[in-house]
Amino acid sequence: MFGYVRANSCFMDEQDKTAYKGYYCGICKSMKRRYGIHTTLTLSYEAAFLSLILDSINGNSPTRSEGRCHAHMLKPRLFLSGASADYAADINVILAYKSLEDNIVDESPLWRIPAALLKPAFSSALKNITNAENVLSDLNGLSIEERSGHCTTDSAAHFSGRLIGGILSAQIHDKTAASALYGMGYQLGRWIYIIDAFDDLLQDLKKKRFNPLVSDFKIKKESFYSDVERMQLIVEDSLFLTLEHIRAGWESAKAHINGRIISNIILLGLKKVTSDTISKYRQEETHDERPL
Amino acid sequence: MTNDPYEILGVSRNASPAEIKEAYRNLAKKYHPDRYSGNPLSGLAEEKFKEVTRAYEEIKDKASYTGNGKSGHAASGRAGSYESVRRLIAEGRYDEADQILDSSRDRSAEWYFLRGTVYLNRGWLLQGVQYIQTAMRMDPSNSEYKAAYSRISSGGRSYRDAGNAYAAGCGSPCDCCASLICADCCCECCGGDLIGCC
Repeated sequence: MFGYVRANSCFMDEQDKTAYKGYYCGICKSMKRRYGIHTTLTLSYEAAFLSLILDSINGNSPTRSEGRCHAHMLKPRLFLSGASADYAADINVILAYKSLEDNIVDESPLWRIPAALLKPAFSSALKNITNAENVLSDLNGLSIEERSGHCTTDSAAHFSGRLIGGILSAQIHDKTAASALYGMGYQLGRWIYIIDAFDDLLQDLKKKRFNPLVSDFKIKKESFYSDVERMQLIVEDSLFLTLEHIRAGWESAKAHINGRIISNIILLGLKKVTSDTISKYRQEETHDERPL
Repeated sequence: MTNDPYEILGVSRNASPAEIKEAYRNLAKKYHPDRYSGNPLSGLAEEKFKEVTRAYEEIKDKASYTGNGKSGHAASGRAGSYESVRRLIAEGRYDEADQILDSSRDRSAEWYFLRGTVYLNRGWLLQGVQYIQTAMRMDPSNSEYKAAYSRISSGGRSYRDAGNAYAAGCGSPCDCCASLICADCCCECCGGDLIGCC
């Protein structure tokens, strides 16, 4: 589920790149300080996006500090820390732990080991955020929906949307801004779910793992590439319309700081991930005509 | 503010069903909520959209005008209930509209169109797009379905345009190798290289 919401650094100036990395490193520092160095391995770009958005809408400037870290001993780094970085760290730990739990069921019992290592951090992180109940209930709703037998991509993506909408809006003080961010987060959560499902489609089919796109579009192993081609236009149209809703939602929220970086992520980062993911099987088809 | 449905649609009392439908379509297109998402005028547009839809329904009810138009998806036998579905959609009562559609055995182009509209309004865009595309394939001459699909594509287009405008404002991107290095720098931070691509 992680790694899809990231900037397109080709179109970023040095100042923005430093700030973007600063947010990422600020969260990393917060995780290391509060939960231990091992938890920083789970850090994803979504957390940096979350922290950027919260500071932007609440108008909080993060605390700046410089220093070396375990991953970069030679060159000092900028850390942008504060309440947003701590919240993003908590959310990151919670989602990473839950994703490991899913892996235990879906893939291999070996995932129990990292899950056990992350469990204490998960329990503390839950206590540190005020919206823990909602986060857990949406995650639980998603997993019930996926196992319900009548799950569609949209019905599952709905819970992912609620989850991300709730996470993005919970710490926003202004009510109007919170509702705009919920709407934007809802569509972003849906986008993440659908992109992830499309990205994993072939692997899930091979390993017989659940993927709602398979039943929605009647995708079979024997006719994989032509089945995907059939659904391509629907997925593409709907993902780009989703992105337009995200863009409009972001435009209606009032950004105080970080506006340029967040626009880069929404307008160029998400666009690139969408185009790359959608054309993924098209490329494979030209290189590899053998049956699966 | 008037309550006269003919005045709301801007047609004369002697207007033919085709003229009434045409007037309704033009106004519905003009005020459709999809066009105003994220716009401060969206509340006002939605009000207008509902008013126009109510006026159209009222005229049709009065004239017991069946309203399937000349595009000729032959009366499905469920036309009556679809009028109520359209009304529910215009009032934002999507769950009720969906229930009626769900219980119908009809699978005409109009059924797909209405179900797609319900999904799109709910934000369930994957099924929404799929159903609208199906309706359009089943009845390619229907301008209502075409208009719905063109709203979908124009949404995606305006997103892409906004991205191009943003990129153009940044000046020329650095060359490909440099950009790969930039991307990798970000991934390296904290040692956690979780993303398969970098």
